[in-house]
Amino acid sequence: MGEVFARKASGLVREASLIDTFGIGFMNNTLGVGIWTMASWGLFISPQGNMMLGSILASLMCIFGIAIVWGFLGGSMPRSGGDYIANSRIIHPAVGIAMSMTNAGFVMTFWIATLAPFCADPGMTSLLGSIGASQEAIDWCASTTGIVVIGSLVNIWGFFIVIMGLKVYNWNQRVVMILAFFTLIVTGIILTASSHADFVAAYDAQADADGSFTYAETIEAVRDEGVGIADGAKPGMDLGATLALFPAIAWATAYGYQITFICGEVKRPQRNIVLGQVLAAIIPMVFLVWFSWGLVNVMHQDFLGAIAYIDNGDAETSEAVANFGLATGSNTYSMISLLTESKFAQFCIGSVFIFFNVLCMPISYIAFSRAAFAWGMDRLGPMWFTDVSPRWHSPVKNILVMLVMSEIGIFIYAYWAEAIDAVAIVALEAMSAWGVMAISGLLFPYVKRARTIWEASPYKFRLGPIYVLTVASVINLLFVGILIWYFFTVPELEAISTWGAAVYISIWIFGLLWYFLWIRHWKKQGIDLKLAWKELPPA
Amino acid sequence: MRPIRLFFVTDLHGSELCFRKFISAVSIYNADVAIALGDLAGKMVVPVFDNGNGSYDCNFLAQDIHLNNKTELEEQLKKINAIGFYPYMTDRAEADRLRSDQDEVMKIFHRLINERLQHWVDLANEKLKDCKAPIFMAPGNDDPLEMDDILEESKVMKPCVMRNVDVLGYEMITVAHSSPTPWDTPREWPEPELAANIDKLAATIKNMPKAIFNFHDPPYGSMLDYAPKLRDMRQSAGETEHVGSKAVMDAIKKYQPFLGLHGHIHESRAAQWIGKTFCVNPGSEYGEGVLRGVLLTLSDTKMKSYVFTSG
Repeated sequence: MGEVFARKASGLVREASLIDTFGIGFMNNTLGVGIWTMASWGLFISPQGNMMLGSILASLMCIFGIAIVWGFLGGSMPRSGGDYIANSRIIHPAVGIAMSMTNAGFVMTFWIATLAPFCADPGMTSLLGSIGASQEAIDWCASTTGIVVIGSLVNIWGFFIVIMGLKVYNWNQRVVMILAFFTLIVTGIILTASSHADFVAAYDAQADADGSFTYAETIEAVRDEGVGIADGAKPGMDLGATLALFPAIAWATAYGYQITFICGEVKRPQRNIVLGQVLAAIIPMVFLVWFSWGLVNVMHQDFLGAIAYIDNGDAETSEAVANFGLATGSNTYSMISLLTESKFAQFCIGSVFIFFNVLCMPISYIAFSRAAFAWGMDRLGPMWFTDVSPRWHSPVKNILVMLVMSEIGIFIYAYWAEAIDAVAIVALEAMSAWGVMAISGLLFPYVKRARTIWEASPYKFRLGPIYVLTVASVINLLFVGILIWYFFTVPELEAISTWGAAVYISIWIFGLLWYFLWIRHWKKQGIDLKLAWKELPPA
Repeated sequence: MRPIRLFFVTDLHGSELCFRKFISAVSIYNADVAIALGDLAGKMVVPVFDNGNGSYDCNFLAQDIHLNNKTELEEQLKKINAIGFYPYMTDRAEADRLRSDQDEVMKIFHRLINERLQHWVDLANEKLKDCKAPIFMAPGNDDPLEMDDILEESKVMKPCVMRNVDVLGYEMITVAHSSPTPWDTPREWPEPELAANIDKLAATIKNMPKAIFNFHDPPYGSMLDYAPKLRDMRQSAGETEHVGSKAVMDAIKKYQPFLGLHGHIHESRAAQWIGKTFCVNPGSEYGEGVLRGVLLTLSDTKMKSYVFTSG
């Protein structure tokens, strides 16, 4: 019907860089890691779970829930800073900064402290196992020294490419993303081109060489310990068991929200922020379904449940775990690597985990530095939060703070892993990061403080009388509810701990105090900082 | 000497809502002086079609909108005005004709731009008549030249472009022109011409340590002038570049005034010291109806504090 007339004026032309926007969301979804968590961690928790059905359901909830909520809120307020921007404008700045400190501050540090060491073990250990490297090399990667060295190298690389600015980061991201796609597709082709008989023969041959259980013995050994693995080759349609896979599948579908940390740097933000988030969940869904089908077809559900148990079980309490002796290890990619004798293919399979994991470090730097920058811009922090290096064109000081915090985290992980386990906060992160933003999504069309932002938002689509954003927020909350249910009812998920809750509550209190102290600081100087956010009444 | 609180905004781009917020902000932020630097003109005309049966149609923010009655129409017009677009009541025949008649479209633009600015002047005359804080307003590179005449007639908003004005004891010179842009906008000068005009104005300043350079174009190579890089008029992926004025940067380095107030690059909200000069660009979010600004507390030749605002 309509069109508008535009005149020549500066800044009017805006064009997309969808690929980079999508890249941050997609790579933070760590699809390659998510396939492993689904098949290993997921089936350990719920061996009867239907991976394909779970992948479809979880992905759809993430696409129509989390991706839409974060995309609509980010696109309506295209400023870098992540959830802080929307929560502070819609709910309250105190909630915004407390939530942001938890998510962009503590959780991002926590992720680097966990995922950088993951590059050593299971990343490098799987890779070396896949290509038949010496046990000595594999053991070194899993050692304290190996974890510190490899974890720190990866961390420093992430630090360096973020300091160099988004342009340098984007180039690195493109290279890593291409390699990640390539290795995953090679892995998928090898899996799809193989038969169940091929796998059993390869597994038994390796077992024979290593003096380990055969395929049938593996299933039997785990079943003998009373583990409720499936009875046959195919999974059933048990909805409860399938929903229990959600926490594991969420690794590959729910983390595209990191895009909102760079909203102010995205071209054509109103299109690309949403589209990037949605694509970052759709593409993992396609791969998850493909691998779910391939794994069940080639390895069978009963074996997958058994090997997941061995991969995650405790050797001190389980004979099956203690007596498992396959040199390649028990993780999903090690199993797939048995299907080929090509060193190149084995290298590709072994690399998947690393390529999909490694960008989490720079992405965490981006998240923290942008969030701290946004706090500083709102004067909720020292002036240096907004310092941008004229040489590097990035908030170097904020990034340095994250380097120090994350290196401490890596050392704690390597030397005192129980401390990291003790502050498990996955459940609380899920509740807060996704939950609070969903509440912002629910409130956005209706709260007075954000009325003009909503009025100018291009996302006021309706489904009948209800805003699409409202529907998406409800789906988002439902998804969070499912996760929380399993986090709190399945102890094996290790998603919540007393120390974790204490740390989490402390950070929230610290964030709230931080807010009120800065308000007081500026008030003493005669400036009512609350007015700096408040919607001004038009004359 | 009591510190002075200066409220500075830029690039309102026709946003009725942002201008009304600016008027409110002067008293809400308790500003001693307020400055609105260009661009003042909007960039889009939104044709609103009268269907002849009491209903109307338009396309707003890429959405086709059907309005059932005059009440809905009034609400929609407010929304269009709020974010700096100009609603234009028309019919389909005229709209079809305008598509191939750029000159006529430009005439409509100029008329609507002038009407909006005249309306702002009238609004300020009414709402700020008792305001003690001096209010300064100047155009930017996007603003047609005839807008100066309208500003000159304002009783409340003091025009300041291309002159040296007193701002509560500070000398302020204002330049609306920018260095050349890819859009060939109404007020552009090549860098040497811009430098010459700045030099001419700077020569009128008696006390440079208390001078304010109110230049629409930000200094080149600073944190205030980052914009997405253009290739064939399209923004390249993930790349930004400095797009400010070298003449402005050279002038700041050469004269070292107390304060540099800048705009032009909406995305580049930042503050930076360039030698002894504190330069700031509060950015703009007029498209979201959000008034971005900066509150500066000046104490003689000392920058006591600054706070970016977003309201």
